[in-house]
Amino acid sequence: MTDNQTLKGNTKISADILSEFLETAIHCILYARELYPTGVFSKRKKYNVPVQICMHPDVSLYVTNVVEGVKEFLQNQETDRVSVVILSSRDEPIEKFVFEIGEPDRNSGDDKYLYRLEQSLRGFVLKLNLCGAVLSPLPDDCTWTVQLHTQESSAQKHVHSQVEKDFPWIEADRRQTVVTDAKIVPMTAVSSETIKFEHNQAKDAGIFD
Amino acid sequence: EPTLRFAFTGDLPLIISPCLPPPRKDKVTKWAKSHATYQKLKNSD
Repeated sequence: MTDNQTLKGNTKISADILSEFLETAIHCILYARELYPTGVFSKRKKYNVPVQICMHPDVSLYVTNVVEGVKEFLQNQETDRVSVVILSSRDEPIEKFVFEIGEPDRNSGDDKYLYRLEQSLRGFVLKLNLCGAVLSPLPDDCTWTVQLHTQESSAQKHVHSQVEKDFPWIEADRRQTVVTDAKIVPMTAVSSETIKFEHNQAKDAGIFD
Repeated sequence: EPTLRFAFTGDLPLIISPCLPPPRKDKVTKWAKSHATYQKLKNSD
């Protein structure tokens, strides 16, 4: 097998792992930040830790569609950052959970069974589970979205498949992309070769007491 | 031709998000209430 084929294979595996993690992370954020009532979540086991997964069919389908969309970009290394953004009723971002995606490590031969990566992802999930306890409560009428950082050419390339899947992506509203007076709450307790995690929270803007 | 266009204009960074909004909280809350009632009735059978 050539180096190029190995790298392609590694990228595909990384994309699979990252999208599975992203799906879990979105559910954790929705639960921890109470974006939906706790009654619609059910406890499941992921990475050997309990996580809350939303059981509402529409929410579940929406999250799956989002992750499928992100995966297309991950497979071609066309994104380096995915954010879960919590918006106020005025469509302004209040909080941003930023997932920075690094280049898949070519020298990860010593983590053949992805044990270390699983450990890292477990750490991230545990941190996400705890974030509800350390962050200020959100206003009741918040909503959320996912933003993906890419290039114009890459976005253009995926338009047809997105329309076919009935889940198109468009340029994000400028108002929804900038968090004013943001402070970064560091949650990067665990680092991995493939992913880095950062959390931004809007400081005031009259949203928090 | 998109490739040609980007050669002229440059390939700029872009932030994209889903066109469709996520399900609304009030709709999900309503579902949760009816679902809880349904589960209770199912369990009492």
